[in-house]
Amino acid sequence: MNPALQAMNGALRVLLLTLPLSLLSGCVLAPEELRGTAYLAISVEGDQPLTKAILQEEVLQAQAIVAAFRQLHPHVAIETNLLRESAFIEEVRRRQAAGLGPDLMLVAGSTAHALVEADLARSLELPQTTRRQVDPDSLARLEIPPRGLAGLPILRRPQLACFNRTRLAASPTSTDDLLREARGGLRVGLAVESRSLFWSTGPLGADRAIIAAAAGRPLAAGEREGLQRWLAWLSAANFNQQVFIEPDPEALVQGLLERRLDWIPCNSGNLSRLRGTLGASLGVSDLPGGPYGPPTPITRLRVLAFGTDSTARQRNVAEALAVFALNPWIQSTLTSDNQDMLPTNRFVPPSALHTPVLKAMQRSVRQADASDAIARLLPAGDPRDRELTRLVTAVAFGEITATEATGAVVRALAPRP
Amino acid sequence: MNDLLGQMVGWLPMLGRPQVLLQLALVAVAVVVSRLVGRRCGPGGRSRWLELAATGVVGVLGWGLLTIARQPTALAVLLITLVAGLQVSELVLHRAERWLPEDQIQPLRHLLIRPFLLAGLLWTLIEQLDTRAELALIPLGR
Repeated sequence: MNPALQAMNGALRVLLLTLPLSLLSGCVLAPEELRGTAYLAISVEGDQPLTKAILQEEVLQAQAIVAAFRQLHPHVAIETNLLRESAFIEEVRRRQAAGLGPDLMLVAGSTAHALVEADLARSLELPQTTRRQVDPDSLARLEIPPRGLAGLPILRRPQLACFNRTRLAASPTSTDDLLREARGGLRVGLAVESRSLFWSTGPLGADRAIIAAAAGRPLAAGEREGLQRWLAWLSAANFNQQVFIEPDPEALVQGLLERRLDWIPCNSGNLSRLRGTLGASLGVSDLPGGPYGPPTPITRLRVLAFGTDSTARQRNVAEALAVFALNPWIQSTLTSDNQDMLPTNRFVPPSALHTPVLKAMQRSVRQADASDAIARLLPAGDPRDRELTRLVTAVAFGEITATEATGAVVRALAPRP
Repeated sequence: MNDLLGQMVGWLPMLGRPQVLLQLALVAVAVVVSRLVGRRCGPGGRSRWLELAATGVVGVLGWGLLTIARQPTALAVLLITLVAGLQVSELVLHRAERWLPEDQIQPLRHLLIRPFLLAGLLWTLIEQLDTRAELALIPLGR
Protein backbone atom coordinates (compact mmCIF):
# COMPACT_ATOMS: atom_id res chain seq x y z
CA MET A 1 0.00 0.00 0.00
CA ASN A 2 1.03 3.59 -0.57
CA PRO A 3 3.10 4.70 2.47
CA ALA A 4 1.18 8.00 2.66
CA LEU A 5 -2.03 6.02 2.83
CA GLN A 6 -0.54 3.77 5.53
CA ALA A 7 0.45 6.81 7.57
CA MET A 8 -2.97 8.34 7.16
CA ASN A 9 -4.56 5.01 8.13
CA GLY A 10 -2.53 5.12 11.33
CA ALA A 11 -3.58 8.69 12.03
CA LEU A 12 -7.19 7.77 11.35
CA ARG A 13 -7.00 4.82 13.76
CA VAL A 14 -5.64 7.10 16.48
CA LEU A 15 -8.38 9.65 15.86
CA LEU A 16 -11.13 7.00 15.79
CA LEU A 17 -9.77 5.54 19.06
CA THR A 18 -9.44 8.85 20.92
CA LEU A 19 -12.89 10.15 19.96
CA PRO A 20 -14.98 7.40 21.63
CA LEU A 21 -12.52 7.07 24.54
CA SER A 22 -12.74 10.71 25.42
CA LEU A 23 -16.54 10.59 25.10
CA LEU A 24 -16.78 7.40 27.16
CA SER A 25 -14.66 8.81 29.96
CA GLY A 26 -17.57 11.13 30.80
CA CYS A 27 -20.21 8.40 31.13
CA VAL A 28 -19.06 6.12 33.94
CA LEU A 29 -18.75 8.48 36.89
CA ALA A 30 -20.83 8.87 39.97
CA PRO A 31 -22.52 12.26 39.61
CA GLU A 32 -21.92 13.45 43.18
CA GLU A 33 -18.16 12.84 43.20
CA LEU A 34 -15.91 15.58 41.87
CA ARG A 35 -13.65 14.14 39.16
CA GLY A 36 -11.73 15.25 36.14
CA THR A 37 -8.80 17.35 35.12
CA ALA A 38 -8.75 21.12 35.17
CA TYR A 39 -6.05 23.26 33.56
CA LEU A 40 -4.59 26.07 35.60
CA ALA A 41 -2.39 28.70 33.93
CA ILE A 42 -0.27 30.74 36.35
CA SER A 43 1.24 34.06 35.30
CA VAL A 44 4.83 34.94 36.14
CA GLU A 45 5.56 38.65 36.43
CA GLY A 46 8.68 40.35 35.06
CA ASP A 47 10.75 39.76 31.94
CA GLN A 48 13.76 38.22 33.64
CA PRO A 49 14.99 34.78 32.51
CA LEU A 50 13.02 32.18 34.44
CA THR A 51 14.89 30.22 37.06
CA LYS A 52 13.64 27.40 39.21
CA ALA A 53 13.63 29.71 42.26
CA ILE A 54 11.47 32.33 40.50
CA LEU A 55 9.04 29.70 39.25
CA GLN A 56 8.74 28.16 42.70
CA GLU A 57 8.06 31.60 44.15
CA GLU A 58 5.16 32.04 41.73
CA VAL A 59 3.66 28.58 42.19
CA LEU A 60 4.27 28.11 45.93
CA GLN A 61 0.78 29.03 47.09
CA ALA A 62 -0.94 27.50 44.06
CA GLN A 63 0.84 24.18 44.72
CA ALA A 64 -0.19 24.24 48.38
CA ILE A 65 -3.83 24.97 47.46
CA VAL A 66 -3.88 22.23 44.81
CA ALA A 67 -2.25 19.68 47.16
CA ALA A 68 -4.80 20.35 49.93
CA PHE A 69 -7.67 20.32 47.40
CA ARG A 70 -6.55 16.95 46.05
CA GLN A 71 -6.59 15.49 49.55
CA LEU A 72 -10.25 16.41 49.68
CA HIS A 73 -10.98 15.33 46.09
CA PRO A 74 -8.51 12.56 45.22
CA HIS A 75 -10.04 11.93 41.78
CA VAL A 76 -9.30 15.41 40.59
CA ALA A 77 -6.14 16.37 38.72
CA ILE A 78 -4.94 19.93 38.20
CA GLU A 79 -2.49 20.49 35.36
CA THR A 80 -0.52 23.68 35.80
CA ASN A 81 1.19 25.77 33.18
CA LEU A 82 3.30 28.88 33.70
CA LEU A 83 3.06 31.81 31.33
CA ARG A 84 4.63 35.25 31.43
CA GLU A 85 2.31 37.99 32.62
CA SER A 86 3.40 40.28 29.75
CA ALA A 87 2.49 37.67 27.11
CA PHE A 88 -0.33 36.03 29.09
CA ILE A 89 -3.26 37.40 27.08
CA GLU A 90 -1.64 36.54 23.73
CA GLU A 91 -0.78 33.02 24.94
CA VAL A 92 -4.32 32.38 26.21
CA ARG A 93 -5.74 33.76 22.95
CA ARG A 94 -3.50 31.37 20.97
CA ARG A 95 -4.56 28.38 23.07
CA GLN A 96 -8.23 29.29 22.85
CA ALA A 97 -7.94 29.52 19.05
CA ALA A 98 -7.31 25.77 19.21
CA GLY A 99 -9.94 25.11 21.91
CA LEU A 100 -7.14 24.36 24.36
CA GLY A 101 -7.49 27.36 26.68
CA PRO A 102 -7.04 26.96 30.45
CA ASP A 103 -10.01 26.42 32.78
CA LEU A 104 -8.53 28.58 35.52
CA MET A 105 -5.96 31.36 35.45
CA LEU A 106 -4.05 32.68 38.45
CA VAL A 107 -3.13 36.19 37.36
CA ALA A 108 -2.71 39.81 38.48
CA GLY A 109 -5.93 41.77 38.96
CA SER A 110 -5.30 43.97 35.90
CA THR A 111 -4.72 40.89 33.71
CA ALA A 112 -8.02 39.40 34.94
CA HIS A 113 -9.81 42.57 33.78
CA ALA A 114 -8.04 42.46 30.41
CA LEU A 115 -8.95 38.78 29.97
CA VAL A 116 -12.65 39.45 30.56
CA GLU A 117 -12.58 42.46 28.20
CA ALA A 118 -10.98 40.29 25.49
CA ASP A 119 -13.62 37.54 26.00
CA LEU A 120 -10.89 35.14 27.11
CA ALA A 121 -12.37 34.76 30.60
CA ARG A 122 -15.93 34.91 31.86
CA SER A 123 -17.01 37.41 34.46
CA LEU A 124 -18.37 36.14 37.77
CA GLU A 125 -21.36 36.93 39.88
CA LEU A 126 -20.56 35.88 43.41
CA PRO A 127 -23.34 34.85 45.77
CA GLN A 128 -23.79 37.38 48.57
CA THR A 129 -22.49 34.90 51.19
CA THR A 130 -19.17 34.47 49.33
CA ARG A 131 -18.94 38.19 48.53
CA ARG A 132 -19.22 39.02 52.23
CA GLN A 133 -16.18 36.82 52.97
CA VAL A 134 -13.85 38.66 50.59
CA ASP A 135 -11.84 41.78 51.41
CA PRO A 136 -13.90 44.67 49.95
CA ASP A 137 -10.88 46.58 48.54
CA SER A 138 -9.79 43.51 46.58
CA LEU A 139 -13.35 43.09 45.26
CA ALA A 140 -13.49 46.77 44.29
CA ARG A 141 -10.35 46.36 42.15
CA LEU A 142 -12.03 43.52 40.22
CA GLU A 143 -15.49 44.97 39.80
CA ILE A 144 -17.11 45.05 36.38
CA PRO A 145 -20.24 47.21 36.64
CA PRO A 146 -23.00 46.58 37.51
CA ARG A 147 -22.43 43.40 39.56
CA GLY A 148 -19.79 41.35 37.79
CA LEU A 149 -16.25 40.52 38.87
CA ALA A 150 -13.22 39.86 36.65
CA GLY A 151 -12.14 37.02 38.95
CA LEU A 152 -11.95 35.76 42.49
CA PRO A 153 -9.20 37.46 44.56
CA ILE A 154 -7.19 34.76 46.30
CA LEU A 155 -4.16 36.44 47.83
CA ARG A 156 -2.55 39.84 48.27
CA ARG A 157 1.15 40.54 47.93
CA PRO A 158 1.96 43.90 49.47
CA GLN A 159 5.04 45.97 48.71
CA LEU A 160 7.56 46.23 51.54
CA ALA A 161 11.08 47.36 52.36
CA CYS A 162 13.57 44.46 52.46
CA PHE A 163 17.03 45.03 53.88
CA ASN A 164 20.14 43.31 55.14
CA ARG A 165 20.13 43.48 58.96
CA THR A 166 23.89 43.05 59.12
CA ARG A 167 24.23 46.44 57.37
CA LEU A 168 21.23 48.27 58.84
CA ALA A 169 19.41 47.75 62.18
CA ALA A 170 16.08 49.18 61.05
CA SER A 171 14.64 50.45 57.76
CA PRO A 172 14.67 54.29 57.34
CA THR A 173 11.30 55.81 58.18
CA SER A 174 11.42 58.65 55.66
CA THR A 175 12.64 59.17 52.10
CA ASP A 176 15.07 61.84 53.38
CA ASP A 177 16.52 59.37 55.91
CA LEU A 178 16.86 56.83 53.11
CA LEU A 179 19.03 59.16 51.00
CA ARG A 180 20.94 60.25 54.17
CA GLU A 181 21.71 56.60 54.97
CA ALA A 182 22.80 56.15 51.34
CA ARG A 183 25.22 59.08 51.69
CA GLY A 184 26.53 57.29 54.80
CA GLY A 185 27.33 54.15 52.79
CA LEU A 186 24.05 52.18 52.68
CA ARG A 187 23.68 50.64 49.23
CA VAL A 188 20.10 51.44 48.21
CA GLY A 189 18.45 49.85 45.18
CA LEU A 190 15.59 51.44 43.26
CA ALA A 191 13.91 50.09 40.13
CA VAL A 192 12.83 52.52 37.43
CA GLU A 193 9.75 50.46 36.59
CA SER A 194 6.94 52.87 37.50
CA ARG A 195 4.92 50.38 39.58
CA SER A 196 7.95 49.50 41.68
CA LEU A 197 8.63 53.19 42.30
CA PHE A 198 5.10 54.45 42.86
CA TRP A 199 5.44 53.96 46.66
CA SER A 200 7.73 57.04 46.72
CA THR A 201 5.17 59.38 45.13
CA GLY A 202 3.11 59.66 48.37
CA PRO A 203 6.01 60.76 50.63
CA LEU A 204 6.95 63.45 48.08
CA GLY A 205 3.40 64.56 47.32
CA ALA A 206 3.23 63.40 43.70
CA ASP A 207 0.61 60.64 44.02
CA ARG A 208 -2.37 62.96 43.47
CA ALA A 209 -0.76 64.49 40.38
CA ILE A 210 -0.23 61.04 38.81
CA ILE A 211 -3.78 59.93 39.64
CA ALA A 212 -5.22 63.20 38.27
CA ALA A 213 -3.13 62.97 35.09
CA ALA A 214 -4.07 59.30 34.55
CA ALA A 215 -7.76 60.16 35.07
CA GLY A 216 -7.46 62.98 32.52
CA ARG A 217 -8.14 65.77 35.05
CA PRO A 218 -6.17 69.04 34.80
CA LEU A 219 -3.47 69.36 37.49
CA ALA A 220 -3.67 71.99 40.24
CA ALA A 221 -0.49 74.05 40.73
CA GLY A 222 0.29 72.19 43.99
CA GLU A 223 -0.10 68.81 42.26
CA ARG A 224 2.26 69.83 39.46
CA GLU A 225 4.81 70.99 42.06
CA GLY A 226 4.49 67.62 43.85
CA LEU A 227 5.14 65.76 40.60
CA GLN A 228 8.22 67.89 39.90
CA ARG A 229 9.45 67.34 43.49
CA TRP A 230 9.23 63.57 43.06
CA LEU A 231 11.08 63.64 39.73
CA ALA A 232 13.73 65.92 41.29
CA TRP A 233 14.12 63.43 44.18
CA LEU A 234 14.70 60.64 41.66
CA SER A 235 17.23 62.76 39.84
CA ALA A 236 19.01 63.57 43.15
CA ALA A 237 18.98 59.88 44.08
CA ASN A 238 20.88 59.12 40.88
CA PHE A 239 23.64 61.59 41.79
CA ASN A 240 24.22 59.61 44.98
CA GLN A 241 26.93 57.03 44.29
CA GLN A 242 25.32 54.58 46.72
CA VAL A 243 21.88 54.59 45.09
CA PHE A 244 21.76 51.94 42.40
CA ILE A 245 19.14 52.34 39.72
CA GLU A 246 18.06 48.95 38.33
CA PRO A 247 15.72 48.20 35.43
CA ASP A 248 13.15 46.07 37.29
CA PRO A 249 12.24 44.70 40.73
CA GLU A 250 13.81 41.30 39.99
CA ALA A 251 17.22 42.96 39.54
CA LEU A 252 16.77 44.48 43.02
CA VAL A 253 15.97 41.09 44.55
CA GLN A 254 19.07 39.62 42.89
CA GLY A 255 21.13 42.53 44.26
CA LEU A 256 19.97 41.87 47.82
CA LEU A 257 20.44 38.11 47.42
CA GLU A 258 24.02 38.62 46.19
CA ARG A 259 24.61 41.23 48.95
CA ARG A 260 25.41 43.91 46.34
CA LEU A 261 22.50 45.96 47.77
CA ASP A 262 21.52 46.57 51.40
CA TRP A 263 18.02 48.05 51.07
CA ILE A 264 15.37 47.58 48.37
CA PRO A 265 11.63 47.96 47.90
CA CYS A 266 10.42 44.36 47.52
CA ASN A 267 7.20 42.47 47.09
CA SER A 268 6.03 40.07 49.80
CA GLY A 269 6.07 37.33 47.16
CA ASN A 270 9.89 37.55 47.13
CA LEU A 271 10.23 36.87 50.86
CA SER A 272 10.52 33.06 50.73
CA ARG A 273 13.40 33.32 48.25
CA LEU A 274 15.12 36.10 50.22
CA ARG A 275 14.72 34.20 53.52
CA GLY A 276 16.19 31.08 51.92
CA THR A 277 19.45 32.92 51.16
CA LEU A 278 19.69 35.70 53.77
CA GLY A 279 18.12 33.78 56.68
CA ALA A 280 18.02 35.82 59.89
CA SER A 281 19.84 38.75 58.23
CA LEU A 282 16.71 39.58 56.23
CA GLY A 283 14.91 42.59 57.64
CA VAL A 284 11.35 43.40 56.53
CA SER A 285 9.49 46.62 57.20
CA ASP A 286 6.93 48.92 55.66
CA LEU A 287 8.29 51.47 53.18
CA PRO A 288 9.47 54.94 54.28
CA GLY A 289 7.06 57.86 54.40
CA GLY A 290 8.02 61.49 53.81
CA PRO A 291 7.23 65.13 54.52
CA TYR A 292 4.15 65.06 52.27
CA GLY A 293 2.54 61.83 53.40
CA PRO A 294 2.82 58.09 53.98
CA PRO A 295 4.21 55.75 51.30
CA THR A 296 1.88 54.69 48.49
CA PRO A 297 2.84 51.08 47.79
CA ILE A 298 0.98 48.97 45.24
CA THR A 299 -0.40 45.66 46.46
CA ARG A 300 -0.25 42.89 43.89
CA LEU A 301 -3.54 41.06 43.82
CA ARG A 302 -3.52 37.44 42.66
CA VAL A 303 -6.83 36.49 41.15
CA LEU A 304 -8.42 33.30 39.85
CA ALA A 305 -10.08 34.00 36.50
CA PHE A 306 -12.24 31.41 34.72
CA GLY A 307 -11.61 30.34 31.13
CA THR A 308 -14.32 30.01 28.49
CA ASP A 309 -13.28 26.69 26.88
CA SER A 310 -14.16 24.38 29.80
CA THR A 311 -16.50 21.41 29.66
CA ALA A 312 -19.18 21.22 32.39
CA ARG A 313 -16.97 18.92 34.44
CA GLN A 314 -13.84 21.06 34.05
CA ARG A 315 -15.92 24.07 35.06
CA ASN A 316 -17.15 22.23 38.19
CA VAL A 317 -13.59 21.33 39.18
CA ALA A 318 -12.37 24.88 38.51
CA GLU A 319 -15.16 26.46 40.56
CA ALA A 320 -14.72 24.00 43.44
CA LEU A 321 -10.98 24.75 43.49
CA ALA A 322 -11.61 28.51 43.51
CA VAL A 323 -14.10 28.26 46.38
CA PHE A 324 -11.65 26.02 48.26
CA ALA A 325 -8.83 28.54 47.76
CA LEU A 326 -10.96 31.16 49.48
CA ASN A 327 -11.69 29.04 52.55
CA PRO A 328 -10.39 30.65 55.77
CA TRP A 329 -8.52 27.52 56.84
CA ILE A 330 -6.40 27.21 53.67
CA GLN A 331 -5.86 30.99 53.54
CA SER A 332 -4.73 31.08 57.15
CA THR A 333 -2.40 28.08 56.63
CA LEU A 334 -0.83 29.67 53.54
CA THR A 335 -0.38 32.99 55.33
CA SER A 336 1.21 31.67 58.50
CA ASP A 337 3.31 28.92 56.85
CA ASN A 338 5.13 31.10 54.33
CA GLN A 339 4.52 34.64 55.63
CA ASP A 340 4.78 36.01 52.12
CA MET A 341 1.18 36.98 51.42
CA LEU A 342 -1.98 38.27 53.04
CA PRO A 343 -5.29 36.45 52.75
CA THR A 344 -8.29 37.90 50.91
CA ASN A 345 -10.80 36.18 53.19
CA ARG A 346 -11.85 38.59 55.94
CA PHE A 347 -12.60 35.70 58.32
CA VAL A 348 -9.01 34.48 58.68
CA PRO A 349 -8.46 34.63 62.46
CA PRO A 350 -6.32 37.62 63.54
CA SER A 351 -4.08 35.20 65.49
CA ALA A 352 -2.84 33.92 62.10
CA LEU A 353 -1.63 37.46 61.23
CA HIS A 354 0.25 38.22 64.40
CA THR A 355 3.93 38.23 63.36
CA PRO A 356 5.97 41.42 62.75
CA VAL A 357 6.33 40.62 59.03
CA LEU A 358 2.58 40.10 58.57
CA LYS A 359 1.89 43.27 60.56
CA ALA A 360 4.21 45.23 58.24
CA MET A 361 2.25 43.74 55.31
CA GLN A 362 -1.03 44.84 56.86
CA ARG A 363 0.30 48.38 57.29
CA SER A 364 1.45 48.33 53.68
CA VAL A 365 -2.00 47.21 52.51
CA ARG A 366 -3.65 50.04 54.46
CA GLN A 367 -1.23 52.53 52.87
CA ALA A 368 -1.92 50.94 49.48
CA ASP A 369 -5.59 51.90 49.73
CA ALA A 370 -4.46 55.37 48.63
CA SER A 371 -2.68 53.95 45.58
CA ASP A 372 -5.42 51.47 44.56
CA ALA A 373 -6.68 54.26 42.31
CA ILE A 374 -3.45 54.18 40.32
CA ALA A 375 -3.59 50.39 39.97
CA ARG A 376 -7.10 50.79 38.52
CA LEU A 377 -6.37 53.80 36.31
CA LEU A 378 -3.04 52.56 35.03
CA PRO A 379 -3.06 48.77 34.79
CA ALA A 380 0.30 47.02 34.38
CA GLY A 381 1.24 46.79 30.72
CA ASP A 382 -0.85 49.85 29.75
CA PRO A 383 1.14 51.80 27.11
CA ARG A 384 0.89 54.89 29.38
CA ASP A 385 2.52 52.90 32.20
CA ARG A 386 5.37 51.92 29.86
CA GLU A 387 5.76 55.55 28.78
CA LEU A 388 5.89 56.64 32.46
CA THR A 389 8.62 54.05 33.07
CA ARG A 390 10.55 55.39 30.07
CA LEU A 391 10.34 58.98 31.32
CA VAL A 392 11.26 57.99 34.89
CA THR A 393 14.29 56.14 33.48
CA ALA A 394 15.33 59.22 31.51
CA VAL A 395 15.11 61.39 34.65
CA ALA A 396 16.88 58.84 36.84
CA PHE A 397 19.78 58.64 34.38
CA GLY A 398 19.94 62.42 33.96
CA GLU A 399 18.93 62.46 30.28
CA ILE A 400 16.22 65.04 30.99
CA THR A 401 15.69 67.33 33.95
CA ALA A 402 12.81 67.02 36.43
CA THR A 403 11.31 70.28 35.10
CA GLU A 404 11.37 69.04 31.49
CA ALA A 405 9.95 65.66 32.52
CA THR A 406 7.01 67.09 34.51
CA GLY A 407 5.05 68.22 31.45
CA ALA A 408 6.04 65.09 29.51
CA VAL A 409 4.74 62.83 32.33
CA VAL A 410 1.39 64.65 32.41
CA ARG A 411 1.06 64.33 28.61
CA ALA A 412 2.12 60.65 28.66
CA LEU A 413 -0.44 59.78 31.35
CA ALA A 414 -3.40 61.45 29.64
CA PRO A 415 -6.04 58.82 28.81
CA ARG A 416 -6.07 57.81 25.16
CA PRO A 417 -9.38 58.29 23.36
CA MET B 1 11.77 12.15 32.86
CA ASN B 2 8.51 11.23 34.63
CA ASP B 3 7.78 14.94 34.98
CA LEU B 4 8.32 15.44 31.25
CA LEU B 5 6.03 12.51 30.37
CA GLY B 6 3.54 13.73 32.95
CA GLN B 7 3.50 17.17 31.32
CA MET B 8 2.89 15.62 27.90
CA VAL B 9 0.23 13.07 28.93
CA GLY B 10 -1.45 15.49 31.35
CA TRP B 11 -2.94 17.46 28.47
CA LEU B 12 -4.75 14.45 26.90
CA PRO B 13 -8.08 15.00 28.73
CA MET B 14 -8.39 18.28 26.83
CA LEU B 15 -9.22 16.11 23.79
CA GLY B 16 -12.63 15.51 25.39
CA ARG B 17 -13.71 19.12 24.90
CA PRO B 18 -16.48 19.38 22.27
CA GLN B 19 -14.67 22.16 20.40
CA VAL B 20 -11.52 19.98 20.19
CA LEU B 21 -13.54 16.91 19.14
CA LEU B 22 -15.10 18.95 16.32
CA GLN B 23 -11.64 19.86 15.02
CA LEU B 24 -10.43 16.24 15.28
CA ALA B 25 -13.58 15.12 13.43
CA LEU B 26 -12.81 17.60 10.64
CA VAL B 27 -9.28 16.18 10.33
CA ALA B 28 -10.68 12.63 10.24
CA VAL B 29 -13.16 13.62 7.49
CA ALA B 30 -10.37 15.26 5.48
CA VAL B 31 -8.22 12.11 5.76
CA VAL B 32 -11.08 9.74 4.85
CA VAL B 33 -12.27 11.84 1.89
CA SER B 34 -8.75 12.22 0.46
CA ARG B 35 -8.16 8.47 0.85
CA LEU B 36 -11.42 7.63 -0.92
CA VAL B 37 -10.57 10.03 -3.74
CA GLY B 38 -7.05 8.57 -3.99
CA ARG B 39 -8.33 4.99 -4.10
CA ARG B 40 -10.88 5.72 -6.78
CA CYS B 41 -8.19 7.05 -9.10
CA GLY B 42 -5.75 4.16 -8.54
CA PRO B 43 -1.96 4.48 -8.02
CA GLY B 44 0.08 7.14 -9.77
CA GLY B 45 0.94 10.82 -9.64
CA ARG B 46 -2.56 12.02 -10.59
CA SER B 47 -4.19 10.31 -7.59
CA ARG B 48 -1.68 11.97 -5.26
CA TRP B 49 -2.57 15.36 -6.67
CA LEU B 50 -6.25 14.59 -6.20
CA GLU B 51 -5.67 13.41 -2.62
CA LEU B 52 -3.89 16.66 -1.84
CA ALA B 53 -6.66 18.68 -3.51
CA ALA B 54 -9.34 16.76 -1.57
CA THR B 55 -7.54 17.44 1.73
CA GLY B 56 -7.32 21.12 0.82
CA VAL B 57 -10.98 21.39 -0.23
CA VAL B 58 -12.32 19.56 2.83
CA GLY B 59 -9.94 21.49 5.07
CA VAL B 60 -10.98 24.90 3.70
CA LEU B 61 -14.70 24.03 3.77
CA GLY B 62 -14.46 22.68 7.33
CA TRP B 63 -12.43 25.67 8.44
CA GLY B 64 -15.06 28.00 6.95
CA LEU B 65 -17.92 26.16 8.67
CA LEU B 66 -16.12 26.16 12.05
CA THR B 67 -15.32 29.86 11.69
CA ILE B 68 -18.94 30.69 10.83
CA ALA B 69 -20.03 28.68 13.89
CA ARG B 70 -17.46 30.71 15.94
CA GLN B 71 -15.60 27.54 16.87
CA PRO B 72 -11.81 27.29 17.32
CA THR B 73 -9.88 26.04 14.29
CA ALA B 74 -6.13 26.29 15.05
CA LEU B 75 -5.70 22.63 16.02
CA ALA B 76 -7.55 21.43 12.90
CA VAL B 77 -5.44 23.75 10.71
CA LEU B 78 -2.25 22.37 12.29
CA LEU B 79 -3.22 18.70 11.82
CA ILE B 80 -4.55 19.20 8.27
CA THR B 81 -1.31 21.02 7.40
CA LEU B 82 0.58 17.95 8.64
CA VAL B 83 -1.59 15.63 6.53
CA ALA B 84 -1.12 17.90 3.50
CA GLY B 85 2.61 18.03 4.25
CA LEU B 86 2.79 14.24 4.15
CA GLN B 87 0.88 14.20 0.86
CA VAL B 88 3.16 16.84 -0.68
CA SER B 89 6.22 14.84 0.44
CA GLU B 90 4.78 11.74 -1.27
CA LEU B 91 4.24 13.76 -4.44
CA VAL B 92 7.82 15.02 -4.37
CA LEU B 93 9.19 11.54 -3.68
CA HIS B 94 7.09 10.12 -6.53
CA ARG B 95 8.70 12.64 -8.89
CA ALA B 96 12.12 11.91 -7.43
CA GLU B 97 11.75 8.22 -8.37
CA ARG B 98 12.73 9.24 -11.93
CA TRP B 99 16.22 10.26 -10.97
CA LEU B 100 16.79 8.75 -7.48
CA PRO B 101 17.22 5.00 -6.88
CA GLU B 102 14.59 3.32 -4.64
CA ASP B 103 17.13 2.51 -1.90
CA GLN B 104 17.77 6.26 -1.47
CA ILE B 105 14.12 7.25 -1.49
CA GLN B 106 13.18 5.07 1.48
CA PRO B 107 15.73 6.62 3.90
CA LEU B 108 14.72 10.05 2.65
CA ARG B 109 11.09 9.26 3.47
CA HIS B 110 11.60 7.48 6.80
CA LEU B 111 14.70 9.17 8.21
CA LEU B 112 14.27 12.73 7.04
CA ILE B 113 10.85 13.88 5.83
CA ARG B 114 8.49 12.12 8.24
CA PRO B 115 10.59 12.63 11.40
CA PHE B 116 10.96 16.30 10.40
CA LEU B 117 7.18 16.74 9.96
CA LEU B 118 6.44 14.87 13.21
CA ALA B 119 9.01 16.90 15.13
CA GLY B 120 7.42 20.06 13.71
CA LEU B 121 4.00 18.86 14.87
CA LEU B 122 5.29 18.02 18.36
CA TRP B 123 7.09 21.36 18.64
CA THR B 124 3.97 23.29 17.63
CA LEU B 125 1.81 21.27 20.03
CA ILE B 126 4.23 21.97 22.89
CA GLU B 127 4.09 25.66 21.95
CA GLN B 128 0.31 25.43 21.97
CA LEU B 129 -0.04 23.58 25.26
CA ASP B 130 3.04 24.22 27.31
CA THR B 131 5.87 26.62 27.86
CA ARG B 132 9.33 25.82 26.57
CA ALA B 133 10.98 27.77 29.39
CA GLU B 134 9.05 25.71 31.90
CA LEU B 135 9.89 22.39 30.19
CA ALA B 136 13.55 23.37 30.19
CA LEU B 137 13.48 23.56 33.98
CA ILE B 138 12.12 20.03 34.46
CA PRO B 139 14.91 17.96 36.02
CA LEU B 140 15.66 15.05 33.68
CA GLY B 141 17.12 11.63 34.50
CA ARG B 142 15.76 11.51 38.02
